[in-house]
Amino acid sequence: MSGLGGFSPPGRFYLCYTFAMAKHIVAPATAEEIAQTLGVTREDREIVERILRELGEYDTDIERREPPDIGDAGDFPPPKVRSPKKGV
Amino acid sequence: MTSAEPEGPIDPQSVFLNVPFDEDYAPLFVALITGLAALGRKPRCVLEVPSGGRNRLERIFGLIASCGASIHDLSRVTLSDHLNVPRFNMPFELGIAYSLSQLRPHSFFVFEEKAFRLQASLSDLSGHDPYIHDGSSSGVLRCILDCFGAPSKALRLPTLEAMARRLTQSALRLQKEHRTPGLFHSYLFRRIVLAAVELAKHRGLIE
Repeated sequence: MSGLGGFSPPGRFYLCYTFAMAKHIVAPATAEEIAQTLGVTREDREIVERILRELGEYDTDIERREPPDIGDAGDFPPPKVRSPKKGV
Repeated sequence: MTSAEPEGPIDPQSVFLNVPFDEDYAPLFVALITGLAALGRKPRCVLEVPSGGRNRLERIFGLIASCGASIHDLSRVTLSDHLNVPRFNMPFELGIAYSLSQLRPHSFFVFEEKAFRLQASLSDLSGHDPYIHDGSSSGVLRCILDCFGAPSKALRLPTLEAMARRLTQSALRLQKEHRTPGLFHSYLFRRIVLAAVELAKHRGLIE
């Protein structure tokens, strides 16, 4: 049982584990580990690498550069006006 | 463990995303993937489970059970447009996650757009404060940091916002190339996560 007392996490990755809704802190996965879990294919890699290159992602060294805080991150078109919510 | 408890390994870095697959939600979906990838988490979702088939529910259960954590955004739990019936999938999967949290290591986080709405829609969860994202990508990123960010490793919100903007561009390009009406397809999900991982790696956030 999960809970506040007497819980021993089974995985070596757990740095801490508490009850649900508390912060979930674990050691980060590597890029390769994430890709393997998702079942990424060679075609996926080729397509994504090409698109990122075309978008200029690799043109400059942006490692650890802190951009200015310019507000919301969304660049999608503005959402359509939805009808009022009617409850659950 | 009793025989009634779920079996199988748990991946503590995997985070199941129980979110609406609506066009309006796409920017928030991209923000969720951005934040999780930046923190070295593995975004998982039901898009990985083929639709149809007799054992679809078992496979969804197995996927949630394999994840160390889950996010449940109930901000779009409304009546469906055409049949005017409630959308039960998300609360149902939240129930699965809650049950799992009682049996094995599983953390679940409830996201909402507006404060106090959860008390009206799901009062049984009183005592579990939802994370309020205000319907914005930045709000979602802030919630992700609140839930998964390690205090010792400061990751600033502007960094995530810039990464989310680039991932949005990538996702829209992928969507256009695949001529799909939305982002919510299994192969697009996989490629968007891969793009997020590459962006995080390029920024030195993960190895």
